Amino acid sequence: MTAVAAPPTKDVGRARGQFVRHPAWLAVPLLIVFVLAFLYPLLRMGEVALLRGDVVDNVTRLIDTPLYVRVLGRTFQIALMVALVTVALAYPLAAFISRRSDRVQALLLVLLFVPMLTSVVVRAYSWVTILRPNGVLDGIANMLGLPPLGGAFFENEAGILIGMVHLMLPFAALPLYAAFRRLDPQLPLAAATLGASPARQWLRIVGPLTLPSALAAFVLVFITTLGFVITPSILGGPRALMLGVLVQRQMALNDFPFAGVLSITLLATTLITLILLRLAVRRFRAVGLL
Amino acid sequence: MAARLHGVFAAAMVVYLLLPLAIAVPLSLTSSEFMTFPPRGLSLRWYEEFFTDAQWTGPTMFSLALAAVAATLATLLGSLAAWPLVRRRFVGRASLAALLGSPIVVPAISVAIGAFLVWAGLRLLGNPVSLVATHVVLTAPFVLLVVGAALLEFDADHIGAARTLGANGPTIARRIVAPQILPSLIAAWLFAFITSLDEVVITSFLLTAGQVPTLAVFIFSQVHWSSSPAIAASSVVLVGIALVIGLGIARLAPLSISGPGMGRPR
Amino acid sequence: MSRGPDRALLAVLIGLLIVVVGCSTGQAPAQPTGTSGATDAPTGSPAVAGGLVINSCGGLYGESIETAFIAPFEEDTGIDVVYDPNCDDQTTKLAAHAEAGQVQWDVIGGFGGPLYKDLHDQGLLATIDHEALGSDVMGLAEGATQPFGLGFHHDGVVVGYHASQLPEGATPTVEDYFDLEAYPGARGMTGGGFEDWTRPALALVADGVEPADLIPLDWERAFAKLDTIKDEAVFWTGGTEMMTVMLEDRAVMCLCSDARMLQAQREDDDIKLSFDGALRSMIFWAIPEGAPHSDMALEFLASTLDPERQAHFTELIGYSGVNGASYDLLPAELQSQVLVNPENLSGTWAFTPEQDAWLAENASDASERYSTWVSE
Repeated sequence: MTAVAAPPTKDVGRARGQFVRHPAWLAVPLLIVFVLAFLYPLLRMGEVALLRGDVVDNVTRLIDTPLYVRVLGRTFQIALMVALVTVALAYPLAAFISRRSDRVQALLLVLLFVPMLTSVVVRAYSWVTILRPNGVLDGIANMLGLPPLGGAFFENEAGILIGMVHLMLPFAALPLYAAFRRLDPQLPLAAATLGASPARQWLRIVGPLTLPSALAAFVLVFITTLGFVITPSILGGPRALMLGVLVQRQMALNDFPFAGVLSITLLATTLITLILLRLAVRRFRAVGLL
Repeated sequence: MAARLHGVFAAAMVVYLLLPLAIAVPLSLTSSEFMTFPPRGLSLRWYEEFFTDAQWTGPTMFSLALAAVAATLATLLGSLAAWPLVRRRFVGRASLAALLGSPIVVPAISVAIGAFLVWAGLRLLGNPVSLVATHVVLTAPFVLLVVGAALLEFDADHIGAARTLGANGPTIARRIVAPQILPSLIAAWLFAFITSLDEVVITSFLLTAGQVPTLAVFIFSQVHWSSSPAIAASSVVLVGIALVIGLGIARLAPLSISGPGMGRPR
Repeated sequence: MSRGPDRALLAVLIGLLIVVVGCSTGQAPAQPTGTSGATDAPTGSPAVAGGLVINSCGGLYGESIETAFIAPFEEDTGIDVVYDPNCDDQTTKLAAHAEAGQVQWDVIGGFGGPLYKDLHDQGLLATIDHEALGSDVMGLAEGATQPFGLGFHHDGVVVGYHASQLPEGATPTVEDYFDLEAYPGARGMTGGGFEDWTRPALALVADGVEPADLIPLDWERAFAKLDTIKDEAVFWTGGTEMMTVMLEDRAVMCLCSDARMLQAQREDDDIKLSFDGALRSMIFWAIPEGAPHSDMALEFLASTLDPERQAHFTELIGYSGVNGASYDLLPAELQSQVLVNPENLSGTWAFTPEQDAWLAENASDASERYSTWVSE
């Protein structure tokens, strides 16, 4: 994952090893639970699904049926957009929060987080109430004397965008907030005394220091959105199908082999995207752009 | 000018974030049996039902407990794993990281069947161990990402200094690293907690009939045949309680967020 | 300097954790109020020892089953029944149970013929001995005694409509549903995901095809007919949305379930239903192959045929029972609205078992085609 970028070089190497140790076995407890509760189940599922169906047949079916290719493309497209919008909104929000007084910061953080306890079902239904034709949004438009939106953001990709960005915003804002907090306030201050404008300060100091967190947030939102079923199915309606919903339907029809192929396709394309992303980051780093 | 725009933007974001919750309130106060808007008549009956009916109280308590335990374990194990994963180069590092992070991408239903087979084989269906383990694995990716990002930038000189003074690993972790990444630890715990609360599919496969379900599973079993305002009421209550607790903590201990050693490099 | 508040914060959090965990473990054995006297499921065992486990859907549907069928059964037999209201992944879970060799349910219900027939063919459902049940000689509705299951209730896809938005006294037929000129206004329609052949089939019938000639479905013709109302279509993604679409006045007419419209009618009596051209099908009970208590399961199935219990079920939720005798026990106002009312029944049509077989085989294909059409 892109968040797991190159380790700080000073920690690597035998010389430092005696002082700062990173014993690999620290990861073992998590790994054990992971294998037991996730990997082994996946393998059992793989055995049931793939070994009993005709993989080639199913893959062919997936490629040939326009529905699946279209849904796969749309799923990625939506995930990308959600990630971009979320990080674009979370970044200035996190910056804002980090500059308030401690009391206000605490208050804002609470306001940021607590809504996440709302069940995802309730949230989706609330958005339906807001976005649908004759819903709250239309009611407000009415009051302001504007023409009704008639469900312009309802049961389509815009609706999914609104709902998913809402879901993911705290997930992206919090790591970003932590990154802003870790910034030494002396640095931009020093730059200012040397004559740098706020824009320059951001471009040369704040930006580069917070960029890794922004990237990590982007990746997090992206891959989480890919796998989501509930929000897209309620807000996107049948018109904007995402892959997770399709997998569930195929499973319900007990077409395990095909559902298995769908899942693996999603997983594979995600991994490929992440690898490409890492390569791009490396390339940009090498050229000094990051 | 820019500062004011910034403020307006932040205010807009807060409104955006709180909007569905605001809508959930009228949805929960309706006297009809469905969540329709605007509500046809007002009533507190759904709150009454939420607080008195064991159908609601059982799953609510169960879910909160499960989420708390899973989040704590996930934060602990995830943070431990993040340390070498993020700061040390070894063969297969990236693959291991991707593997441990994969639960976010894989559609839950694909894991659900396999999970059922595994735990059924172990005769542990419905056992809290199966649920906790599953929830830990599903929430750990968030911990890895959040804590990993914080650990990446951690200044190892502090550790070096502590070691020369004779501190051992656990002490260093507890008294040097943890306090400095505390905001990230808390954030990771909260993410894990919330993700666990919303987990439906795999949990639904692992529960046995007659066992108290988790809140999310219970809500889902109702959603096809009722649009019961009690669902909205449940969310309003949970969020309300969390708001009170959160604001209380924010008032009592705002110094925990800032202050020496709390994320500010020296 | 900031040690004090930190410690206080930590103490508060730990305290909260203890309280929550304590409350929960104290509550864990609590049972939902619906099931009377159900025993605690010992964790780790596949099914409730000594009791019957029934799986079907939740919400009002599940409550109606518990009230009308389970409670009297428990009283009569003294058998403890545990009701599992999670029917979302019923077929998938059934396959998983069978795979693990630990079937969790004794009785399942809530789905239609094609699906259960398919499961039976796969060996996941036990063959019902109707002779032993006595159901073969009871004169139940046609098609209620199948090798894969026992009829539970009828299910109709009818035309639901807002009476006030249509010409006075009009009872729209399925053809009228597709007639935007005579009856302008939005059309409620399923977004798919469940038995996706129903609306295309209705479209064909509206277009003039005889039910007997429906199979194999002429997809092009069906979607062409559906396209005529596509612009006015309001799609929903679930049974409850079906009701809220009508209750919130987002559609004038819908092709929806009879029971749901009756439910909606309780909230808004402007909503009426018409059975003219409606599709009727049957929902079944079934017994999983390898169920731990199949004898008790059979006993339960027999008990569901009691006319009084079926009438009670209909009163609660609106679905018509398969035992004709239950119709006579219904209150008069309800009688005029249910599917098995002879007048209503005569307007409906149904798939034959052979047609069902084709539908079962092409379920996945139907799902794909319908989803494609909806998302275009």
